Amino acid sequence: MALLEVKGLTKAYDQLKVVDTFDLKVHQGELRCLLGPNGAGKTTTLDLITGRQKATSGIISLNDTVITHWPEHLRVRHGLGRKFQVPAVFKGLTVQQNLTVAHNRTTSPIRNMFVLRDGAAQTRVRQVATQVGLARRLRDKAEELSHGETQWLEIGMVLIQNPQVLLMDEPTAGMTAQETYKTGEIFNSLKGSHTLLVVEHDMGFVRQIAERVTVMHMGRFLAEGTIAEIENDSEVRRVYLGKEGKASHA
Amino acid sequence: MNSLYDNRTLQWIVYFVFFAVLAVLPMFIENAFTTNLFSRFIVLGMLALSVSVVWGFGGILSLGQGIAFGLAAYGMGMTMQMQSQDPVNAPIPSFMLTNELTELPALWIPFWHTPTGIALALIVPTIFFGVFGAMMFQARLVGVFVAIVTLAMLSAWYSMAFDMQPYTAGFNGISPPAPLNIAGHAIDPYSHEAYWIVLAFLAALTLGMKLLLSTKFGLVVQAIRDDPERARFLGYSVAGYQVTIFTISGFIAAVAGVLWVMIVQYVSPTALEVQFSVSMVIWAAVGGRMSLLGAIIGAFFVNGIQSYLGDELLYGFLLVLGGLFIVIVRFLPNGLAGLLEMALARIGRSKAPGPDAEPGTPPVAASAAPRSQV
Repeated sequence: MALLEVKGLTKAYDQLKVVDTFDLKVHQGELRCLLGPNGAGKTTTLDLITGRQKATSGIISLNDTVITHWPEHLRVRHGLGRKFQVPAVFKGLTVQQNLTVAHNRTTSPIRNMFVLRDGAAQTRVRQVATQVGLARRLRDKAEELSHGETQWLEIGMVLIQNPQVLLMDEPTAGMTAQETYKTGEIFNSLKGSHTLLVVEHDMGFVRQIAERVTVMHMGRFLAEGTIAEIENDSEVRRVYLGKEGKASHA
Repeated sequence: MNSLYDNRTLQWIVYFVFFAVLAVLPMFIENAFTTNLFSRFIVLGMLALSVSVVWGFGGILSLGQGIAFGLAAYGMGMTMQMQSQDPVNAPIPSFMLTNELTELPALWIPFWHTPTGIALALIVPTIFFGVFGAMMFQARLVGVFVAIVTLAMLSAWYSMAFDMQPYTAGFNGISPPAPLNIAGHAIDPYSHEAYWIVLAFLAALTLGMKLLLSTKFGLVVQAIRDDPERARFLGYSVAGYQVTIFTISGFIAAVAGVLWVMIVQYVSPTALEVQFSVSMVIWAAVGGRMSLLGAIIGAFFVNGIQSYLGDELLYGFLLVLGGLFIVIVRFLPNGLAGLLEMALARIGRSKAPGPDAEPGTPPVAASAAPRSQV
């Protein structure tokens, strides 16, 4: 049984279908990469799954519960965590405060009025900060971080929620090769214990982390398999990598 | 990097010293008029506090704080007016008689009972802010649209207060002939007692807000200010937090409205004027909207200048006020408190340990501390 399942997902703007009857199954503990050329509908698919955009039709279910029409925050509470393409952190807050907010054991405004000290949360904050390499920057404001560090902070903010499924939209965008490799190591450390759906363009990074890959094209499902199978798929090479292209970087 | 400005212990000390200085201030004032003027400044500081809470920390630019202030002021005005009425010989305020009302309107009847009247003066505006806020924030109104809608609502209340002359005394306003009487004790608006009462409320609200904003609730509110969508995707009901902080700010403005009428014995539609509510935003901006104390000091500062220059310049002072706002927005976006923050950060940098120093393990309270509070 799939942990995250999408059936016939469609998003249309008038006659234009940016996601067209797309199906996807992600199983518990799996790290799945979602590939496709620009405009393939990858980010829109994440938007639909997380509720940022409303689906025109189709069904989204998480852990056997249909969440298609739920508001964003309820989907998150049910187990979805999302990292955005453009890093979204609270720039006016410190790294520690960002992670504290993300540690959402209680989300009620009234209950949180009585949370002044939460030692357990701070222990977890330090664990995650260490995991994403920001332990020494806890007191720094997010606006003082480099681009790569900001990406890691957002990854940490998703991790600390301990969601059932982590949706990562281009987590290495704008990173140096060294930062990308380190991010890959973080993701590899999550394999098995976490379920991830990663949208990514960098084929080197995909090779570093991917177990299975799903390819989209023009909003539709194109292919699925291991990275080797995908790289050797003639249809994928035609629409995505170019007929004679090398699968080094999209 | 944290500076002295972010030192929470120091912040609390500054807060207590500030209120201690204000508490002893009347000892050095012999003029009753000046005491009353200072009491008024304190109430205006309370309004700046409400703007700081909702705008500085909540990121909601409300130009309608005057609604809560005005409604509460009318409630208190009605309560004090009814204290002066005789149930048998003079059950109706005189302005109603001149407006050809023959009996007390149902709306006024609860205000015969002073505790009920004061409670209504506080509860009605607070509930109104809750409902109004829910309508705005459930619809995901943000930024300038919130400013426009609150301004429009303020104008609607102003028109209503102005036009419903038989019930509100219209342009003339309500002038209770006697000071507020609590359990047989009259509170002279020009006394030190009145000053200390309003100061006690300001201190309680400010320290209460500082504590509240130090909780996880306060941290989430500031996170929503920075990026509402990110907060939503962390599982928070953004509208729920926005409605809550908006309602709290409405309550603070309502307390200010009640106390205002206690010390001026007068309420008119001017309490609901657009210019007055915009002024509150300017006070907070001048002092520093992201600092509770800064906003209060901003109100003292601007109104102090106004009381000094206002007599000379009359309406020309509005030009001074507008010019001040432009200068602050352009050169000091965080107001006077921001200036202090920059200065302390500079001192902190000169004393900061090297980059290899251990970051330590800050307490949770520090982690939940708002960015700017002094």
